[in-house]
Amino acid sequence: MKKIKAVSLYEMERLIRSVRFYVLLSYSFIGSLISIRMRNVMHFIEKKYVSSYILEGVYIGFPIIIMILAMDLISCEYENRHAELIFSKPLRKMEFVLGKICATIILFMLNVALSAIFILLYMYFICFETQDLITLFSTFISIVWGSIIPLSITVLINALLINTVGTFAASLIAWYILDLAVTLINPSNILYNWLPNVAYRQILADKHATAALTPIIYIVVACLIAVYMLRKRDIH
Amino acid sequence: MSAIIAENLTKKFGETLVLSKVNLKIDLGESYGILGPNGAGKSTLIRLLLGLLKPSSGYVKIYGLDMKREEEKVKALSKIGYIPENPSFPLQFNAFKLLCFYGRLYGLGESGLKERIIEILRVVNLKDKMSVKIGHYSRGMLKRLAIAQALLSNPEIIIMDEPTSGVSLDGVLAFKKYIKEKMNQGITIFLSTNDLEEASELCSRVGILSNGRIIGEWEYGKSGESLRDFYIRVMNIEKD
Repeated sequence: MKKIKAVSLYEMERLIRSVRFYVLLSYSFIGSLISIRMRNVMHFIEKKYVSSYILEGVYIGFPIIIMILAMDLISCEYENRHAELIFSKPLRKMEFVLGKICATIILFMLNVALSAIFILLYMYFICFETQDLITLFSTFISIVWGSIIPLSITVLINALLINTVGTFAASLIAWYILDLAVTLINPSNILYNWLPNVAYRQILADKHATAALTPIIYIVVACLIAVYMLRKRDIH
Repeated sequence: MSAIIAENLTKKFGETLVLSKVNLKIDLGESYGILGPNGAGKSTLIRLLLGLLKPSSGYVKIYGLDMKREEEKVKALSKIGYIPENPSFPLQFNAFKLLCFYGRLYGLGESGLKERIIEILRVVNLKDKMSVKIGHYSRGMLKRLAIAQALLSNPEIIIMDEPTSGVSLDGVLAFKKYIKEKMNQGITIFLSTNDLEEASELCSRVGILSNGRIIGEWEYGKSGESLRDFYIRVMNIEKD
């Protein structure tokens, strides 16, 4: 656990010092603001609590946000030749991968949480209700939990390709091919619920039975394959 | 027990044979050097010893631990400090934070870690620069940082790939002094170099590597022949 924590701290430091993190953070804030200004917020109150609606609206593209955050999760250490020194230390490949994943999820959570706080503060002056806080929290959990599925896909592709740009492109293509595929598959098929695009939509729709299990299966499978690939790979 | 054993170690990159059936047996507390021209396979040999590369055939054991198995490799690596030839660090970090990360990977406790880092940075003369971003370091400073991270965990084996290339003279002298102190304490040294003087000064046994094969082995005080003469003789035979 200590080494997973060490890798997580290292990865968080690396990401926090990257421009990408602040671009995503700005997107969240600006997106929240535009979302609030563009909607007639009072209009939606009867349908749904507004704060969660806005947060959901901003993060509707969260598979892409998490892909951008994780696109060089593993490859950066190989491309910049840091892997040589990291793996000359007593570190298991599984600890390395898990530490990196934890850091990405924490930073993504931070990103969403800051947006949620921003929205909540803004709402406070418009039409704040206690229920807003509760629904916003459940939306926050849904977004973070749902993000684990596209994160798993990105981790897997990154470990296979060891290429940052290639990972982003391949993850995006894979995601949209699956999106296209699910529209063609019969929804009554039992496998349908396990497709990543469907699963993350269900998580957002608060279908908790599927939501609890699917991301765990995705991340476990992605980790195991990524570790297997890294063990086979030479470090130059 | 031997500190390092390599048996029939062979490495191919595609069809290119880089290392061919290398055998090594380095005892505890011994200082062993590998000497050879550029492209002889010295860095590949070191990466195989560290388990960074998978051998095409043969095996490496460190303290009897098989470097092919991850659990055993992790145990072995906890006793090793490695100085790469061209160290590459994340440039956005400063030396202190990076050494904290490496120290945690070695399982060093948080309590003594800060003191240990400051102590080791003092040895390599980087203490005053420990808060400066690594991106602002010169090549010599990067090399000294590489030395610092290798010595951080008080390793029982130090594996060095041309450790003093690009380091200023005072840095080289300080490093050699520190290594000699460590050798007197019984630490095992594996040094790869193409500097004859450095090899004869620091190593009691030197293998000559050429075209991926060890073509001769020189031992301090054994035949009366200097390392320089031995190297020239062996390389001439290899050329013929």
